[in-house]
Amino acid sequence: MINAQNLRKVYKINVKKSGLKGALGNLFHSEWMEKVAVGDLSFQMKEGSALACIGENGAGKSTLIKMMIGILTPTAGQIRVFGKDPRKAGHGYLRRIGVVFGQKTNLWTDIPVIESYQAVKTLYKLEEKVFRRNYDRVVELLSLQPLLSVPARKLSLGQRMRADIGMVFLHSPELLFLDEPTIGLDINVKHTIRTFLRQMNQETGTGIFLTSHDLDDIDEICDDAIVLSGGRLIYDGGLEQLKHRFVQDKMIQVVGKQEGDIHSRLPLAKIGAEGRVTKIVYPVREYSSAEVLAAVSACFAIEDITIEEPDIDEVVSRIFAGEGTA
Amino acid sequence: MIRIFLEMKAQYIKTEMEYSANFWMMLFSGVLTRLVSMAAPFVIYSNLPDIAGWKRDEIYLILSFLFIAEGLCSVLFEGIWQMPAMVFDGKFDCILSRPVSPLFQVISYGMGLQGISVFLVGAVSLPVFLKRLDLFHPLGVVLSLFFVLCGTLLCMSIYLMGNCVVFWFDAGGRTTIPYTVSQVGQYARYPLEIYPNIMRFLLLFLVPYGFICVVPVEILRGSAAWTECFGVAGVSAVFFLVARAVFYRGIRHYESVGM
Amino acid sequence: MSREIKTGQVAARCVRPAAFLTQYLAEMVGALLIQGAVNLFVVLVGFLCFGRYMTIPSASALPAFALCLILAVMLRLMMIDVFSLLCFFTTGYLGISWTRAALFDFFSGAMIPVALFPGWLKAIACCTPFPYMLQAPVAVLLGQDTLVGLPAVYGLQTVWILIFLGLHGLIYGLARRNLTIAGG
Repeated sequence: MINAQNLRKVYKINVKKSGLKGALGNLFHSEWMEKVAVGDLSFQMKEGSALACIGENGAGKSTLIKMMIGILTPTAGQIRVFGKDPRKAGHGYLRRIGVVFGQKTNLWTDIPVIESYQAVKTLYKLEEKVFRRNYDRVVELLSLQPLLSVPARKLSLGQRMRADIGMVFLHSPELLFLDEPTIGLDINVKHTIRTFLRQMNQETGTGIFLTSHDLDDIDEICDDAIVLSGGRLIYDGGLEQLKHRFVQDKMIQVVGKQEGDIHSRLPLAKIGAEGRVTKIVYPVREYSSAEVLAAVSACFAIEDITIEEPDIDEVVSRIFAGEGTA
Repeated sequence: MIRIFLEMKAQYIKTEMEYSANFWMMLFSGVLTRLVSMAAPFVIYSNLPDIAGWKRDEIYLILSFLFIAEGLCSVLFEGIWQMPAMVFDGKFDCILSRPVSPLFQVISYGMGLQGISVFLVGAVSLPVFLKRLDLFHPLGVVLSLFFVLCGTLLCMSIYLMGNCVVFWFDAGGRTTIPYTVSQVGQYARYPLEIYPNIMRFLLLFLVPYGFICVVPVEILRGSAAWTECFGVAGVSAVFFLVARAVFYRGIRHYESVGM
Repeated sequence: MSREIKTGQVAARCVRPAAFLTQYLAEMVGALLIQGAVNLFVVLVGFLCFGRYMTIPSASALPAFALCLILAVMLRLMMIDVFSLLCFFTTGYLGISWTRAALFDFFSGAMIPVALFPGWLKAIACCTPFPYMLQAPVAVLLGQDTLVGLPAVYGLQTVWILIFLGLHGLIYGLARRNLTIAGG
């Protein structure tokens, strides 16, 4: 479905010097610096699969997505989606894909959500039957009914994101690009969206290309992953393998009275208790999150519980440093 | 396409009317700004008998054509003025990722409420001054409608060209260049004879406000040949094509630079 | 400021330990100084090119002019402030901004000198604060007829500043009590 070969994108950045003298200097003489956003990137994505693109800020993820949509010209290399060059494929290509930008909304901000959806129907030239089917589906699965008559600018972030994601499925895209779709959302909305995306991927075979910082995002939706750092590909393969190799421990912190023997249920975990707060660090290879949560609920009268993810930067730096056991 | 364009406009008006204080304020400001514009020639003519042989009512006719064009552009094509913000916020990426002409999307986005009253001021004063100048006959009316059509197209093209600078100059989301360009139109409210040749060239061929309002009145009052109508149509069409080309070139540039 | 009100950022201004008006004036004066420097440069260039068409002010008028100018700038800032405060009560700022600009452009003499207005219009203009922001200081500088006499000019400028200060207090108080910021 997607084929990238030696993809490269270099930005020219105006070097701004600091201080008053520097600012005056900028006025008369521009100094340009080259920044390699994406350098020599090659990867492939299979039909109907869900691919995660992981990387720290500035790793080149957004740049990559823009090149795949066709709104950014690569400096070198080539990218083919559905066997075509996105830049030259025109409106036909845009009809086959869907895009969700996490920080910007696809909805028209001043008009009610339902009107934006109607606009999509007209602009994408959808048949009433197809549109109606998709529309009913997304409204039901994402609980959009109460939001339909509200203008987008009045929605909260979580509501807007749900409406955005609903909107992108209306025209039955074959491939979906999502750039940080769950950023800033609370855990409930994240879960709703992740479940929905996973469901659509499995039921309709819609390909998903997702970028995110949140490993759980990727965990629940995708099977494969590519890791970018500094614009370069440092890992390309299955997600499970990625985790097993590079993500070693997760931490759960429980506030509450310990009533059962947690040590015997999780012998391989490091457990430290301070008063009513207990920290459990467990190796992910030995225990699944579900197991640990079950053990914790059985052994504690839980007042509060926090699950700490390994930092994506940590994971990336580990990969970079070549750590992790095979 | 036209249907969805009009539907979206209807939607905007509906949403804007919910905020009645702002709605009426915008409409009021449209009326006030144009009344003030009309007060200026009034003051001038209380001091002078004529300007280069032009009567006061002829100046008002110039203003009528200008207001109608500006009003229609504000109502129909206000999205053009949102372009700098869209490019800066990255919303332009959303536009580029839809299978719809980006130009169409830009012009259908939003509505300038003040345009409603500006258009009304122009639409009311046009027949009034046509009558006072004995031009309210079938030919005069037909010509006027023709000028209104060309003028609106030309006005939109000028706005579009002005706002396209944002594709080349990363101005941090706010640039006054488009506004400054539109302000050149202030000079096109008076007969061009009073200006030196450089200004005339500017107002006719670089920022052709002259063809929106002054040349039409020159034709109507007889100081320009009726063949000038081809000039009006020609300049409007050419300028529109140029503006459109600049717009798409700007998008190409935006796509290669990215940030 | 009107934009700040629209986006709700004005809330940050309200919770700072300095009075709303003081913050605004301080910022505006700072911005005006820079703008003034740029404008002065442009004017000098213009003077070099077209100076022979311009009336040269006499040095003796400068002290009177300086006072008039300071009062005029204060007055203009206060007027802008009061108009901007009206944005607390509507959702958009453009309408108010344009109305204010239209009134100022015409009645201050920016479009056409007030001295050229027909008698009845001149009288109306002199009852508004606008001529004293622009026409008056210019007239003082060039030694022209100031329409109401120099002491009256200073007096009216001061009176209008006080009126706007009062209006500011009134409107701002009302606004603070009703302050809601659009969510979402």
